[in-house]
Amino acid sequence: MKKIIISFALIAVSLLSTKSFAQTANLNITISDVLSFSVTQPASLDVNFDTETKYTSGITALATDHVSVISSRGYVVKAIAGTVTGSAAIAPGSVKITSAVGATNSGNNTGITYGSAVTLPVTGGTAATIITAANTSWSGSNSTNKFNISYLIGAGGAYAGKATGLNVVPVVYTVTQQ
Amino acid sequence: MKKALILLVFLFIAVAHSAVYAQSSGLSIKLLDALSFTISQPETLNLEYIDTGKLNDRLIAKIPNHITVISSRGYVVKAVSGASNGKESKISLTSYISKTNKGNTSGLIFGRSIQLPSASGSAATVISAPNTSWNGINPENKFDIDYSVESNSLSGKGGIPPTIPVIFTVLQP
Repeated sequence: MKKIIISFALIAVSLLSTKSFAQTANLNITISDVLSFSVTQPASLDVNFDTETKYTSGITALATDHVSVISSRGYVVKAIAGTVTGSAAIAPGSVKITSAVGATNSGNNTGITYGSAVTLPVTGGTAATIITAANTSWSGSNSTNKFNISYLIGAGGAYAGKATGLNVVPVVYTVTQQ
Repeated sequence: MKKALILLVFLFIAVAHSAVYAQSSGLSIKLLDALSFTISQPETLNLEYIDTGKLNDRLIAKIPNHITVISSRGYVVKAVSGASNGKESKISLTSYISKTNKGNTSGLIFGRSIQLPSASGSAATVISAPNTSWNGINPENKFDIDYSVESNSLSGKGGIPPTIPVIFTVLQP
């Protein structure tokens, strides 16, 4: 009995003499803007005007998932013409741009405003807004917003009477965070 | 004033730090010639007799909207006779812009009393257009044609009224 009491006494002393230490580590998290952007060059953007219907109604060239944006916050995509080349002196205003959610978009599509039949401004003008996103492109672990862009080219007989041959209308896109 | 300056400096820094990225894509637009052409064949021809008081009295058939052309650039319409069972070279053609035409009329030149060449001859120009037929969204030029026939040339072989084919061609110069 005496031995048991002595054992308990030793255990009690041992427990009472255990030291406890506490330290704090701070995670310093700096959140900065993240923005990246890409535009594809699909074959569908090579068009031929060779029938009455095309000259009258124009050609709609659809580029699926044409514009991709990764942005940590809201953003705006704008478009403007580059320097047009070719013998027909095509007016950039003969191109109308319509945006829509991309075929394989898995990013956040809340609060996005899409441009419809936006006239492509001439070089040196003011870029036209094609997409306005009020929020980040992230949807959970999916970071990228993808957009389809359709170009309505040369409707209303805009190219009738012009010199035949190849012309190139560059479309310059810019993205800015809001 | 000092606060306003500081605010302006901050605004300038904020704008200067806005990230802008640019990417471009090119639209390759190839323009090719487009040309189409139709001639109507009215079921009946209303002939108007013109009595000139001379031997060469004429019958005139007016055909509205007889020729329709859609052309991405200037064009020429020509006519020549096909093989006839009557007397040749007794028909003349006059072209007019149609009342229903909505196409481009700028620069059009209309043939007046153009003698229809014989089948072996060179086609005569009936309409000459230096510009496209498009007028905005309206692609078509429409033309009326008057056929004028000397009445004494209508006596066909064996008393059968002659058939005189008229062959129209359109080409982009």
